[in-house]
Amino acid sequence: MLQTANKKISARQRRYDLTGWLFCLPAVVFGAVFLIAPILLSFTFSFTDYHMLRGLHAFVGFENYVELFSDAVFGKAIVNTVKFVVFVVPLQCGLALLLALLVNRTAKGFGVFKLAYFAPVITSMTVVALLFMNFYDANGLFNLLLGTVGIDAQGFLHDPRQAMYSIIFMSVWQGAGYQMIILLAALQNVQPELYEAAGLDGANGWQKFRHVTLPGILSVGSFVLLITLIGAFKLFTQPYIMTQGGPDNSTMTVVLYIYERGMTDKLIGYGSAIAMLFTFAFILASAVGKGGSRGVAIYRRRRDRYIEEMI
Amino acid sequence: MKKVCAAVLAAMMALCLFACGGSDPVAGKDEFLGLQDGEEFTTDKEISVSFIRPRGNDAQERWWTTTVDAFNTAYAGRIKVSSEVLVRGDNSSYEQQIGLRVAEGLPDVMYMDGPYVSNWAYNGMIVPIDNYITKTYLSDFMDYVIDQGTYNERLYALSIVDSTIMVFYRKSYMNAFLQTNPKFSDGSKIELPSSPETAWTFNQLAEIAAKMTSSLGGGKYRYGLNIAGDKTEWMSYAFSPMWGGNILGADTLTATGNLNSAKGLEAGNYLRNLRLKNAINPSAGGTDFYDDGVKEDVAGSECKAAMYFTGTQNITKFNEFENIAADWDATYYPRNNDGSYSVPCGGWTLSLSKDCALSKRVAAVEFIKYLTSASSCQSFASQTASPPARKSLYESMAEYKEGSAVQGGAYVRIKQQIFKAATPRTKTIAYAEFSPLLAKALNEIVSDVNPNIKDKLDTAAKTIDNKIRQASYK
Repeated sequence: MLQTANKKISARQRRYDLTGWLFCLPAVVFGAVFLIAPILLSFTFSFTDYHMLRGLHAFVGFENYVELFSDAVFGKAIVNTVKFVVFVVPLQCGLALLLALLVNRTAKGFGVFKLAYFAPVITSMTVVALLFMNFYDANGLFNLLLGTVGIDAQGFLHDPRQAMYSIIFMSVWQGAGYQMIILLAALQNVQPELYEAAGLDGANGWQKFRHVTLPGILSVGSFVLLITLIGAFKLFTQPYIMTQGGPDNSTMTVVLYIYERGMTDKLIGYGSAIAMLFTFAFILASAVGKGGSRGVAIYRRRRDRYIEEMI
Repeated sequence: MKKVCAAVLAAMMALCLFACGGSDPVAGKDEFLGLQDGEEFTTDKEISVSFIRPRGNDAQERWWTTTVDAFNTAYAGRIKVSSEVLVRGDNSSYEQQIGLRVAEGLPDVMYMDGPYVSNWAYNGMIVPIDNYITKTYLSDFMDYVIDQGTYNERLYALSIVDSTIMVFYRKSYMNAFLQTNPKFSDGSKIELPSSPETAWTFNQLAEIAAKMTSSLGGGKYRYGLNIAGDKTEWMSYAFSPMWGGNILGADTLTATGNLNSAKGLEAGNYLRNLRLKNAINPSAGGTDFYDDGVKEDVAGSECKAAMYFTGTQNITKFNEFENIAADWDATYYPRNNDGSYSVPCGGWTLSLSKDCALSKRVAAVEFIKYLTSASSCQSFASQTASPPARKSLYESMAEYKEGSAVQGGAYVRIKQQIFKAATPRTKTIAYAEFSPLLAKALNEIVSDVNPNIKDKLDTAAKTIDNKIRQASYK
């Protein structure tokens, strides 16, 4: 009798399992075909001489990877990408937090600001890039404004010392609205009682921000940091449209270089090697990010323990 | 787990090698497999031929639609051509899209940019067509057109029309300028050249352009000259003759010592000086020359360039505007400052892909011959205002006949310079590596703030050589 019951359960369990797998199937197939297979193919190609027009002729071992170490443009692309990340991540997140704090008001009319700050995000990056190319032009808006205060016209995108910073400025302006909306949602989830209690304890504005607001949005903040970091590493559209990596490769980024070597020069093997190195770097960065999240969790545990002790 | 990973990678490798499978063999040069001139094409069953081309301007699109339909009607039941039209865009995106399709199989007939013939032939993407076309048929084509379509002594491509570069100018501004009795710095009078032999030199063009620049007020100018073009090809197409035909050395694969030679430095300085002398707008748009064009009652803004150094493919754009159509004229491509003369030419051309099956090749070439027939060349040339690829048409088409007054004789001047000194754009199997990098260096020399011209050319030469080495061109 018991055996029959067990059999019935396991048959039902199998059906459940099958149903579960069937539900998963589209995602598994999709992931395998469009994510896992391309990564594996790219990994394979990185050890070959695959040329887009001539096809694949030989396995070249680590030749492509060795070549990369003597490729000056690749080195420059890494430096430029890191420079972009180092500037854009704190600036964009900081600006987003500032904007979120500013628009986190219930007063009438503040919705307009939310819309204004978010508008660049829903505008295509191509359009924004073309717009800023006009702004940065020798006779463009920015030089016109500089001229009115007696400053000489600047090269912006045509000056190797300014080109990357010009792209950084535009990218921060364009993307901050997205992070702002996420942080705004987090800000609105911070319990008002905490501010009230802090006020009763005599906390000033800065103390409220430091001890109530920041801890309250920490989890969301770390998520915002991570997505900004990932987005920054993938910089492509802006330099592709605005500078094609120039002048003097001062805006060449790793992803743009993958495209240039793989697509323009048709060196799929070499391009794949760059892509694989980039992927490993990405995984490393994500691991660092995960370490950050663990830090947040540790901080929270300590904070909760402190509160319990205080109570 | 290790075994599974190894098996997966091995399977992928095998798949890749399988995907790059071979195509039908290529016949020897002397083995004629086509139809003799006048011989009718016959077949037991209809043969379908696929054709790919980039989207052209309105005039070109009208021609393609009409002509392919006419072919399908004329060959009904024997050959059926199906066209695929890709958006060309910028940055060689058409060539990239074709490149991505190599593994999956290319269409039978491809319309391709002439300078890529050597590159595509070297990489085995196209096959020779000289086994299918008689020498008599080819004898009417311009020598440089045959030269452009030839790689390794085999003909791979044939053109319908071609293009060349001229100094286009707005008659109203040029006449007003000439009425001021302008003089060159050596004291000689500035006049419009009457023959290719007396064409302005590059330095003279720069002097004239600087003198023609005039203020429009508010810090804006109507510049003497516009040299804007696409980012990947234009600058190398337009200015490579300044290197005296030796931009990549005798082997056409060595940039260092050639591209960055004294002539290269002279070309770089020349372009930089155009900007410094206010002869050009470094951030000019492609429409500056005809921004005041009036079309369908829509008024234009202001003409921002009195002269336009550009290709004949843009004539149809000028003619779209009534006020511009009546006001443009053209003079010859400039001579080098040492007096030598070479005119860059080269346009789109028709080729047969490696994936066109042997059994289809006669039919596919029949389509190419139909498109390159005298009547097709003439209709394409007149509808798109492009110089025809056939010699005989320069005698029969009214606009090219000696003494023609069409557009003030501009078409006659196009003919004169082509017959005098037409040279295909830099012929090299490494065109895809060379052209964008030279164009980028020259563009940066014009647009950057205080560029080091020698450094730019040295870097471009070094990078091109490195790319040629990496691509294993021999």
